[in-house]
Amino acid sequence: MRLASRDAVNAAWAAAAAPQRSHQLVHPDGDVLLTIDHDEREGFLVETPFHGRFHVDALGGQVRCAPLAEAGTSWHGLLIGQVLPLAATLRGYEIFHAGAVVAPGGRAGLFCAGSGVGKSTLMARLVGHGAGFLADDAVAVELTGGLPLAHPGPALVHLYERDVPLLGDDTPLRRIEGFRSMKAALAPAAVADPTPIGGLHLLERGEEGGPVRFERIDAVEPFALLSAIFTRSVKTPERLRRHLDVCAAIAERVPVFRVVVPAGTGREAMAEAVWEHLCRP
Amino acid sequence: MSADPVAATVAPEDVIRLPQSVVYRVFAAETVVLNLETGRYHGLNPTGGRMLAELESCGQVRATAERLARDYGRPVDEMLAELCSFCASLEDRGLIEVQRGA
Repeated sequence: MRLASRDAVNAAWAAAAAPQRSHQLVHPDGDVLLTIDHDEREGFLVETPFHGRFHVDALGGQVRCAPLAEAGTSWHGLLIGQVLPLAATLRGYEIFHAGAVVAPGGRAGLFCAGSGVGKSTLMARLVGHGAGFLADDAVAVELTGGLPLAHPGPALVHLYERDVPLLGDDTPLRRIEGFRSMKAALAPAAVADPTPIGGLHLLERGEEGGPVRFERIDAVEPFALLSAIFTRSVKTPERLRRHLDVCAAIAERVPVFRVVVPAGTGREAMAEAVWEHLCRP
Repeated sequence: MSADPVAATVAPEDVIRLPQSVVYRVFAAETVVLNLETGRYHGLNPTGGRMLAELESCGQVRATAERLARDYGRPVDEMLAELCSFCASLEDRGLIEVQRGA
């Protein structure tokens, strides 16, 4: 991965023989927020009007970043949230929209949640409890001998400013200064190695009152897994088959839990309940 | 009386095979069939998933129906009618190939 001029990215993409629009995000007022174009030989071009242009080659081995000068560091979010997951998918990984930590038993716990449930805060707090950090928002999974492994992602957690002081002074997460974004950037010490996945947790908000509940799902809904991925732009038969295989392996080999967090549950209470669950043998 | 236009398209003596571009994986809740050319996913309930697996194994619709009828304790004719209709639906979605009159 390297920084490149816009001209260099344009020159590389100019060789694209038959680029096609693979994905587009449009604001309700009609403004295009994000485009992803695909060319079979030249790979992918990711662009936003706020961050710049990013070229990922066809094998995912090279990423050229041409951020806009006015983007400051905000383009890192696009890099982590779109460009790198795309490159990793091209390199044979499946990227799940989830956070992940390593539990005391040495297995990875994955956490999927809709926005606002508090996934990132949970990852940060679990690290505070002693969990190893794997990923905040995008977890790369591969099958090794049929076993799903979670790979460490960027050592970065994004939190709203208001949530940072609540981690406490003794949090092991280090604040990254100068990171211009809507959220504060914190750096945990990340686990170095791929880790077998020991549990998949689907977080959801429940009715007010009562403790956090952990319900084992014996027959996980396959499309809940299939839809939990980041990158939909890579549609080769090999990738589609791999995506299905990874989801089938998770469904077969990984315990899946619905974690119901009652409305009004504090972030620390939620983290304590999850930590206690992760610590069970 | 008008025949069911879907069920009439696959006959008991027809032989079924899965194209190379179609794969399926069995989950506890359902079977997911994926057409690798279109990228389209299809969900089958456990009975449909079992039917597909037996069809892939046996090939011929009648032989498959006889095996399923035995396992489920149901009349062969009833199972055969269901299976023919099921195969027609799968063929319509491009998930199987039918060799007619084999």
